[in-house]
Amino acid sequence: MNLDWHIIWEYRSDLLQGFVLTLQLSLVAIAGASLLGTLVGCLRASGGFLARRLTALYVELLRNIPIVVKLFLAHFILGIDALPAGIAALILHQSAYVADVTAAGLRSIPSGQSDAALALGLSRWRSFCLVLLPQAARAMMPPMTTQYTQIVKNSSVVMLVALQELTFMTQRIEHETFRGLEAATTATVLYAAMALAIAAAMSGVERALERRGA
Amino acid sequence: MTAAVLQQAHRPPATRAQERLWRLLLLTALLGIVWLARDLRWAEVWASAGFLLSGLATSWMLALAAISLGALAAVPLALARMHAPAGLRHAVVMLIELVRATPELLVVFWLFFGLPAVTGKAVSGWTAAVAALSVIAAAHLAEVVRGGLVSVPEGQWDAARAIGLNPRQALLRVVLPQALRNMLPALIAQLVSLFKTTSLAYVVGVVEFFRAVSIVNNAVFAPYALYLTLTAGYLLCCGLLTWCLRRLDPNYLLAS
Amino acid sequence: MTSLICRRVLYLVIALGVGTVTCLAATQSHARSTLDVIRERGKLLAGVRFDAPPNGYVSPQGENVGFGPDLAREFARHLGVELELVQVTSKNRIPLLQSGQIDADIGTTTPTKTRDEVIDFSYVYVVDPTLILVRKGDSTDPADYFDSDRVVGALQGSFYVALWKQHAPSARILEYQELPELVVALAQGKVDVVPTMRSQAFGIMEALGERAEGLAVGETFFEDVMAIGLRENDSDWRDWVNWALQRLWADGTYQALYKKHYRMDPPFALGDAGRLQPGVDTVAQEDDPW
Repeated sequence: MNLDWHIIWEYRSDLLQGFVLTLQLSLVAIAGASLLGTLVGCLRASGGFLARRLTALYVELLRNIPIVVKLFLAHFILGIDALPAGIAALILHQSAYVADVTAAGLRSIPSGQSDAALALGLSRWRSFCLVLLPQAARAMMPPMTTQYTQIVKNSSVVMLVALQELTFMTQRIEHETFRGLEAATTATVLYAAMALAIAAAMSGVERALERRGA
Repeated sequence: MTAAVLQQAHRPPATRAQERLWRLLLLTALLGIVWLARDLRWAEVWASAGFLLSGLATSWMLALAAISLGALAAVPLALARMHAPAGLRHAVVMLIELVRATPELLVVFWLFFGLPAVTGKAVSGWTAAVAALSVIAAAHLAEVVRGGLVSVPEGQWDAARAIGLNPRQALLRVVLPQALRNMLPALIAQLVSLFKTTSLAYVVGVVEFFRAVSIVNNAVFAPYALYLTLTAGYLLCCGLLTWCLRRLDPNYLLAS
Repeated sequence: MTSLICRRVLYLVIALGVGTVTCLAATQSHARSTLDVIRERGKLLAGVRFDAPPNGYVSPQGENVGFGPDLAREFARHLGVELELVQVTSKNRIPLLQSGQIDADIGTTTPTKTRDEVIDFSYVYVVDPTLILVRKGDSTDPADYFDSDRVVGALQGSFYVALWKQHAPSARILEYQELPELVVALAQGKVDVVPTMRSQAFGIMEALGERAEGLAVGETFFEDVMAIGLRENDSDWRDWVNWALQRLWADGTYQALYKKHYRMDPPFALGDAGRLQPGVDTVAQEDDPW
């Protein structure tokens, strides 16, 4: 079997374009899913009856429905343009998992912490933001890394609505040159690189949190 | 479905009236959706019901095979990652991290097209799909198991040894049950996501539920009805999976 | 922590490196003819479409129907082996063939130069012109779409992307993954024109029924032909397939199947120069083994 890596070089501008789109999609979706997911997770861990039930429904529904269905709903039924529809689908999908992680992180904090904060005279809101959330954030870092990696990998779903991201571009190389193994290797390396970058960034954040905590 | 994945001990219990109202609300929403969808092309979907169901059965077989094979491999992988000698441990870490960083579609590709290119022997689509999904399951579950094991305090292990249990008994009787409880939410999330990943088996020609819906859609062009069928199918199956797994929770077992 | 990341990077680099080296070191050999492999295996692995009526699709009862599957059944019957129909799509057909997962791709593959460099083709076995699907009220002349800013929709991996670029190098092409999405995109105005096979266009209109009101079938702009894809440099097997096609043609089975599925007589004559190879009639009468 002979491999021809020159092909990959010939497609460098396509690959770069796809890589950039995947990166943009992932970054926006990571930011969105973190915000939305943390919000839902906080409500889930500490809200009243209705908030708890609604957030539980949110998590279960969004987690159990395939991301493709969300994408089609946004693009073909609600008529949102391909790019915003893709971002919305990614955010909604992963926010359910992020909410789970947040809720679990908040629950891992002993209830004495919240009591102590209240006893010190902090308001409920301030004790939540200043005492509970920072502690939960540290416990949340490893699972969040997994979720962010998942966002990067899931972002390839947008090729179903004709967006040309990284997986689309590697498929194009395969169709046009039949160099499937080279294309797949390139895609694997690029996705792995993004996963590593996320792991590195997250461990940086983790260290920063530890320094603040210490 | 409506029950939270995690039960929190110090929450105010819901009153019966609240519970009833919530169920009523859900039922109304469900009926509303049914009413909105009443005019879609259900006749075409119904005509292909047998084919769609066989696709769903294939999805379940893929998922169950991958879960069992993956779970079998996950425990030794997790233990190796924590306790094995350096060389083996590094190899295991390398493997787990690589699989987790690779998009699932590419894992399927590597096993189906990459393996034959190396060994010169073709594998069937079904074998490749089960192998790929098992590898994905093993890598992700190994991390879940490790998380669960780490969450059990060292003292538990020491205490188990102190009362005269051998390492195997200590692991199986004391540490693993506690780890299982701690990792249950992550386990459920992982398995549900694995069930949805079975849809990638279409790449290697296996006709599971997602592909079956797509094939019917290509013949009858009823996208809205079929995507609603798809949603309902995955919701029911993932809901069922979640419900079954929650039975594993010792808290639940004690409570009932 | 930094050392952990460094180690992770190192692991990944090593893993990828090892994988690549193994790939490079391995050599693939297809010394034996597929014909022998099939007979030894006792089974023909035929790649057929599951999603492209009338060439190959799935009935509501879950059976494979269409011209491709029927032809595969004839092949298996005359080879005296069992038949397994494997699903091919416009994306996986050539890798499946190359890696030995299927023995023949009996689908809707157009024999193009680039494809012919990596696989071989039988005689042309289906002629299905390319025309356009548009929204009702729009121009039905493909030329009107070539030099305009109208958006073209096609399936990724299909031959129409390259074909359209020949006519309109600067065209804006949206590449979707599945035909139903493409049709919805056309109806909703996300794309303006969809080049497709004639049989498929009329199949779509028929399946849509009264919902097809918003769409119209436009004019033909390319005489598209399809052939059975076979592994590269396997002439024994290719000879057998070409010979089988001719003998099915000679006894009329071919034309009957074509008419059954495409609802027309074959608009072409099989074989080189539009005729069968000399001797096909006498051999067919001598009860020569297939």
